[in-house]
Amino acid sequence: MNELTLQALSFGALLFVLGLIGFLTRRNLILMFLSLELMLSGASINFAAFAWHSGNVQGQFFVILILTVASCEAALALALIVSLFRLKTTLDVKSWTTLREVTPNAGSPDILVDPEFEKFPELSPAGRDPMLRPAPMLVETTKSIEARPVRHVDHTNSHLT
Amino acid sequence: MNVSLLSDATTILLLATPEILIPVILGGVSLFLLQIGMGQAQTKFKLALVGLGIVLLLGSFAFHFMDAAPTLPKALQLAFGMLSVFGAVGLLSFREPIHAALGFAVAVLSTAGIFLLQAAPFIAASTIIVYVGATIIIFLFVLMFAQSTHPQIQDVRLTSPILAIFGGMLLLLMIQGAISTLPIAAIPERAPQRVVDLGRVMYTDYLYAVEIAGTLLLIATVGAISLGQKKRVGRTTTSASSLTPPASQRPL
Repeated sequence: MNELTLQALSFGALLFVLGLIGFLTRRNLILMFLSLELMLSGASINFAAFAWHSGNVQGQFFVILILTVASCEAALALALIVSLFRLKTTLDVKSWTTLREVTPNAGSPDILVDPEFEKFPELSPAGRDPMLRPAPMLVETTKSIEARPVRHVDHTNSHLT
Repeated sequence: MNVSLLSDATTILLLATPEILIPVILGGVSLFLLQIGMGQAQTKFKLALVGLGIVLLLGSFAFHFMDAAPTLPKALQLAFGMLSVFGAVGLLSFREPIHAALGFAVAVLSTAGIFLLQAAPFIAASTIIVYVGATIIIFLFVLMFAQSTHPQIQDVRLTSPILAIFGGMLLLLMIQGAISTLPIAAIPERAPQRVVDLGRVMYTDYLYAVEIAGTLLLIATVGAISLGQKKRVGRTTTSASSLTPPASQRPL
């Protein structure tokens, strides 16, 4: 194998490893996906180098395929990041740890052992209890609501946080 | 030494020579120092020195191949590769997310230069168009719309840098050890690869793959549109939800 190919292989390995470290350490969602793209471009360098080494264009076709898959992945990742950002206004990955499996003694309540955990689920507030409020206030709020134009209320955040 | 050693990772680890081992260990330690120093009040000058040291250490693998006969393509590829490693280290260690994304852009642009030297001009052009022209711009757009002006906690505190750097450097040690055992031959004299050949291969040998890639693009478009739509909550509910509007609600 000639030295130019070996040099390219060396740089491809470097980019792959740096992208791997970046994906594992960074906590910003967007930077994690950029590290993933860096790993893909490190692999593409290897494909191009081997294509030139073996004297055909098959490896270059695989680089085109990698580009296609990377752009699909970027589009889907951006849509996911935007919809996650709408729910909790942060880009931190650590704010989504409730999605993972509950492990005992890992900072989260142990649902298998703790009897205190068995309580009723908390529902989002809908309507109100008429016994808890005096009647005049109820009439007043109803009037003021009738006078007000109907507005669209977005409860996306209050349901889920 | 033959290529069959690639299958045995432990043999590669035992075979690692000092000129591979020392840059990997020093590079790992200084990368750890760089990522630890992000969260503390250190001068940017010190951090920049450490970062440049990492780039030089990790690039020293490629310096080996310059020893025998330094030619212009090798020197150019070394320059592009060092620039891409610099961008990758910037992606790992810049505190501001915008700067880190620009570091990624630098890394990918220099990757296009490496493609050019590996006789793949079409790949180089499409990398610049797709990555730098589309992906980076859209990512930067989302970053600017989602990011506040000063760095957040997630940009400064990192997830277990010791484990990640140890694993990554172990992988790097194995790959560089495997590359260093390969026999070195002279650069062959070949005709430059033409884009016509690439197109012919795409639409004869790999026709199904091209069709599947097109279908994948369509599915990704549909998925991105359906994921990105804002859910219409409360439009059809009764007035019960509007009886107690939140205090922070602004009139539309």
